[in-house]
Order: sequence, then C-alpha cells, then structure tokens
Amino acid sequence: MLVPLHGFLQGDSVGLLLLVQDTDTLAHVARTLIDAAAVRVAPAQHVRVFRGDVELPLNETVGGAGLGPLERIDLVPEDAAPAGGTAS
Amino acid sequence: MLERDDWLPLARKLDWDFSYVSERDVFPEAMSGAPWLPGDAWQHWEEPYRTSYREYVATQHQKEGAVRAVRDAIGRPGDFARLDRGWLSAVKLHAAGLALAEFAAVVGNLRAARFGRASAWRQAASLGALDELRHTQIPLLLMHDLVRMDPQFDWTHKFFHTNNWVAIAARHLVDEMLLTSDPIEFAVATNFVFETGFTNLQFVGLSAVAHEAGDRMFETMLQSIQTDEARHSQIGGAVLETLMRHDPARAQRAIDKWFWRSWLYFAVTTGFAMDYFTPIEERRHSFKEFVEEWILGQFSDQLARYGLARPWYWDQFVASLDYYHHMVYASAYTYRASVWFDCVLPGPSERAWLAQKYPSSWPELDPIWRQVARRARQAGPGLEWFTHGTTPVTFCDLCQLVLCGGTPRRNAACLREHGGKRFIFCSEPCAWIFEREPERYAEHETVVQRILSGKAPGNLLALLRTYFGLSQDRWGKDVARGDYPWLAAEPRPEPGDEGVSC
Repeated sequence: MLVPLHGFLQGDSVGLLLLVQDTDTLAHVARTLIDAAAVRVAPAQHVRVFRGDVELPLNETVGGAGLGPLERIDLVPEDAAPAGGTAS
Repeated sequence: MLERDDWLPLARKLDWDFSYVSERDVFPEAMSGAPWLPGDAWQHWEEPYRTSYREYVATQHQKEGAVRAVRDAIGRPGDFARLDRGWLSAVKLHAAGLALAEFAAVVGNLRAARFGRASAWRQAASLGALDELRHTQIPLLLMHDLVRMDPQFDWTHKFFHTNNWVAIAARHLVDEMLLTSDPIEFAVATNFVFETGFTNLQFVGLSAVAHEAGDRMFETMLQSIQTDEARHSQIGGAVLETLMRHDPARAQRAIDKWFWRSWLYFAVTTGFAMDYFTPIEERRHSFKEFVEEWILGQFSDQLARYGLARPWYWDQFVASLDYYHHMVYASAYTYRASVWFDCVLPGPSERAWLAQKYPSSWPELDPIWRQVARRARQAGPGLEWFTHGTTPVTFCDLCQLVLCGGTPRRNAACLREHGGKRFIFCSEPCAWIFEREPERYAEHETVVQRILSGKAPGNLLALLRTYFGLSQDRWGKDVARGDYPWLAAEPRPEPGDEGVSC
C-alpha cells in the first residue's frame, strides 16, 4: 500500500513528500529522502530515523513501524546530534 | 456658499435614523461584521485625512501624471537591458503578487463602503476602493510594456489565474483577507496590519532599494501606491479604537491571526527581493534590518498605542527573522522551475554579506549553498536540472506555503488531527489559526493533497507544465544559467554527493 510521508532531513531547508510502500524498510525510505535532498544537503553516510522523539530501527518496515499516511519522519545524520523534541 | 471646511464635516458625517427599517436590517452583522454595535457606538469614528472627492481626484490626477511620465521615459530596450537580471526577478515577483490582489482589495473596500458603520468610514472606503483599482491598473499597464522584452512579465496578470503553488498560497490569503472579510475584520487585517504594519516595508523600504538598483519605474510605482496606502490605511486605526472599547479580545485575536499571515507573505516577497535579488553592490540594509525598523520598532509602538499586546508568538516571529525567508529562498532556488521568475545563486561575496547580516543563522544556512554551488560547478553552465529538486515538496495546510519554518537543524512543522484527518503546518501560529476555525480551512487542499487525490500530477515535470501553468520558456531558471566566474573556485563535489547507501 502506498504511504505518503512528510520527510525532513536535518540540515535541509524544506520538507519533502515521500511516496513509499508500507513494505519498504526505513533504510530505503531514508535513502529516498537523502537522494531527494542531495541538491541542498551533502549526503550523509549514516542516518537515524525518528518519529517525534522516538528513534525507529532502519530494518523495520513502514507498516511495521506503524507509520500512517502523512506522518512526519525526521532523518538525523549520525554525526549530528539529534535536534530533540520534534513536534508531532 | 459654504466654504470647504464648513460643508465637508457635514458631508462626511451624514448618518441618520431609519424610520421604516431597523438598523440591524440596514447593517446586518453578517455583512457589517462583529461585534454588532448600535450606530451611536460608531458616531465618533474619524480618520485624519478627511479628503473630499474633488480633492481626491485632483491629487490622483497629479500622481497619474508622474506615473505616465515614467512610463514614457522607460520601455526602451536599452533602459531595460541596464537593469540587473536578479533585480528584475524582484519586480516580476512583486508585480504578480500585487496587481490582482489589489483588485481583490477593491471588493473589500466596497463592502466597507456599503456596510461600514459610520458614514465617514464608508466615504474613506469608497476612496480606498478607487485607490486599489488604481493599484491594479498601474502594474498591469507598466509590466505589460515589458512583456515584449521578457515574457515572464506576462505573469503579472496570469499569476492569480493559475494553480501555481505560490498562487494557491496567495489566493488562500487574499480570498480570506480581501474578498470575504467583513468590514471590521477587513479594517483590522488589511488597513491596520497589512497596510500600516507591513506595506511600509515594501513601499518605503523596497522603494529605496529600487532607487539604489536604478529602477526608476518600480520606485515610482511603489511610491505612487504608497501615498494612497498611507491615507486609506488610517481606516484601520479608526475601526480599532471602537473595537478596543467594546471587544478587545476580538481585536487581539484578529491582530494575532493577520500579523502572522501577513508576515509569511512579506517574508517571501520582500525578503527575497532585499536579500537575494538586489545586486550586492546596491544593498544597504538587510531584510531583517528593515523589519526591525518598521515592524519591531514602529508597528510595536502602534500596537501599544491602541492598548494591544504583541502577538502571543512574538518570540517565534523574532527568531524567524533570521531563518524563514532564507529557508524558503533556498528551497525556491532548487525548485525554480516551479515559479515564473529567475533565481540568483548567491556567490561568495553575497554569502559573506549575508553572514555579516545574519551571524546567528548563516552558519546553518551556508552549507546548503555550498552544496548547491558544488553541484553547479560539477554540472557546468546551462545544466539546470543538476541543481534542481525532482521530488515534490510538502505544504502547510494553513498558509499553503512550503514547510520551511524553524531552522535547518529543526524544522518547525507540526501535525494536528481534525475530523479523522491529519494536517501539517509550517509553524505553531499556522496551527493555532487553523484550530480556531477548522471548518473554514479543513476542506482546502494543498498541492500535496491534490497530487494524492489525482487532481494534480505527481511527476514534477507534468506538475509544472499541466498544473502550475508554466512552460519551458517561462519557468524560472538560474539567472546566469549557472555561468558564474566564481564557481571555478568552489570545491569539487565530494564522493557520494549523488546518493549513498544507508
């Protein structure tokens, strides 16, 4: 099932629309967002994925993580400190 | 025969008691606005200009002559070619946002000219409507002359008739503020907040910038409009005085709502023009410095004078001066084909100027431009798409602008649930405005919702061509087509710049 998400990469200036499948892993979702933002943000080798303050495992699927349509996810490059308290 | 000072007060204050209809029937609350007050409450309504129609026509005739003289003096290809290409983008952006928005303001003023509760108010609003008609016609006339030299100027008239994402955001604001507001809300939103609080930023501040940029036509146009705005904006304070006596909480809510909505509009239009489109050698003050003078200083004083508090999100507003328009511009540059004006890639001297003007935020913003510049160098001149996004961006469910609130480190977008649906907002103030009147806003679809419901294509190129109303010869490009001498000194892209594995 197609799941549209609002994706925010730390360091970027704008949120992006991610159209992913509920069976996609979060690693795949992260790669999609990093590629989409590469025009503005130098790609990081490793990132962490958050929903609000909760970190999500990269090997989890979109559906398995309970992400529904138009939820917000945040990507934080591993060498950067989490911004903390993403609004939800 | 009566002298002017004898008949004018009588003519302006020509209210009377109704004998065969009630006052509520003549001025129903739905049209005249809330709170509904008996006529006595409005009898002391006054504004300082007290212009007669004859004086109005004579003054406007003189101003029209000045505009005509400038129009006759410009329009030659040589004059046009002397203007900086980046500056012309500022003109295109403002002209499109201005012309038909002013036409909507004619409607708002005419509603007040009929349903305003004091005859002096109705008379001032009648002249205000004529002002706004003039402000529609001037940019349409002047910019029409430029279409033959640059077809992007065609968007001066076309803009509001398209489903371009900026036009959707502009209509969302203009429809509510100018077309559908009752006269009381119109006076607070338009005459007081927008015209008293913000348009000095544009008509005085930007006019001075136009002078520095050598654009006499745009400077004259702005100044000519500003003299009208200074007069009819006085309606706002006069209405606020009565509103504060009878319903101060309503007045404060209206201020809080319309200040935020106006701020987002001006941050995008005037912020781009002052900090990115004005040639670096002509810049004197940053957008933030203009806002500090005209809004943090003068408008704050005006609020206090009426007994109003600063909006509840004031600290957030002040913090956004360092970030918001920069984040929107970085996003617009990398989606420039989605707009009708060209964009400037800030080079080392521009970035040094911005770093000096925005010392607290620029260290977070500069990496974005370094990355864009790296890719521009790798692409070489003429290859627009290597510095252009291909994934649709997301939009705020209130203001309809891109989600660029907060900082690059922490975007301020926030989610809310209403009626079983999920909504996203660029900022807490936008969420607050939505939550106060969800029935007003919930059914309006953002570009994302239009894509998801199949009304707009998800493919970016198809979206630009078939939905945003752009064609390849009109859509925004890099103003120098990527041919910047300074790019040769930029670092080459690092390994992995075109994508990585996680």
